[in-house]
Amino acid sequence: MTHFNRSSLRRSTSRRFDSKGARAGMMLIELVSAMGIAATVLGVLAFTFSSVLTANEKSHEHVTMLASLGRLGEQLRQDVHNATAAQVTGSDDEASRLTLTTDAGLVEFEFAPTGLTRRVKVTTGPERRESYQLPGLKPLSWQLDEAGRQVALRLGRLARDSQGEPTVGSQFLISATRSAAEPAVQATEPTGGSDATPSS
Amino acid sequence: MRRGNITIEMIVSCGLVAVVIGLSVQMLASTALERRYTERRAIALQEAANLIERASAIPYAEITTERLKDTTLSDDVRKILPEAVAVLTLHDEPANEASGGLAAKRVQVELKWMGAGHATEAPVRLSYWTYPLAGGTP
Repeated sequence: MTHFNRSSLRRSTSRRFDSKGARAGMMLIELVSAMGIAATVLGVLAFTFSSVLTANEKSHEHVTMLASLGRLGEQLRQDVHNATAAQVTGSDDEASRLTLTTDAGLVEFEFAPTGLTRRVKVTTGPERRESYQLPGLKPLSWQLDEAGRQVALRLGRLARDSQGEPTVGSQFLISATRSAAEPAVQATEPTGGSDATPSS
Repeated sequence: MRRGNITIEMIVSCGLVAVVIGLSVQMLASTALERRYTERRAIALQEAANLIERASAIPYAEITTERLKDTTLSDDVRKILPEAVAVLTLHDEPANEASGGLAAKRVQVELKWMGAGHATEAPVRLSYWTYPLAGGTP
């Protein structure tokens, strides 16, 4: 009886300690906890990577928007300056088409799902079409004053509401003035623009 | 393998990953800030061009400093650009060879606004030159 008890104690002891005295199962616990930490770290890394990709996409859209906005402003003003008549189509708040009559033909600006489309219809050649992608912006309406000289395009900045739905936030205008019947000689030239020196 | 080796290595790697993530978050934040800055600048440039368009509608003879004061910023842009101020100045340009012997008036628009941290952003400046009608009364 006594012999059996000693033998049982020895077996139990050899199961719980290895030859160096380390507790059996410690490696397993360490591995499990290491895997848990690794999973957490990988999760955070995946989230960060996703955020970087989203930021990259936003930056790309932003650059496209900036380039298109500059190009659109320049082209619109040039077309309006050359126009002999202007007309907007649609209701006052939602006029979606601007038609400019020039000596060479017609120039039309129309809202498109992702921005604006410009069409040039001349009698002497094929129709030309170009589009302006404006990610992050929404064309809202064309405005024309009573004299038919001041043309303005109202644009809204897209934002997200509390439920994540896109909504129009702040707004701004791109305006142009049609030349008078006897225009003076004029030139517009940037003398600083984005390269302007910072003020104190 | 010594006891606790894996745990120590994991803690060290976690620390490194935390540093990398911290830097990434900082980079993302500065990218968003930069995006907002360039967007405001583009809108400011459009608004300056709008002001030039409105000023250019004034006949040559009627362009005066007082008359230019009527050309003000739109309310929409005031909401986008904090504490925005537009200053229109008139300069008489003497006749020279480049202008074909004609005297001209130069109107300059300078648009300033407050940026992040309540610091004034670099202003946007645009100028245009207007000349009297050739052969006619200005």
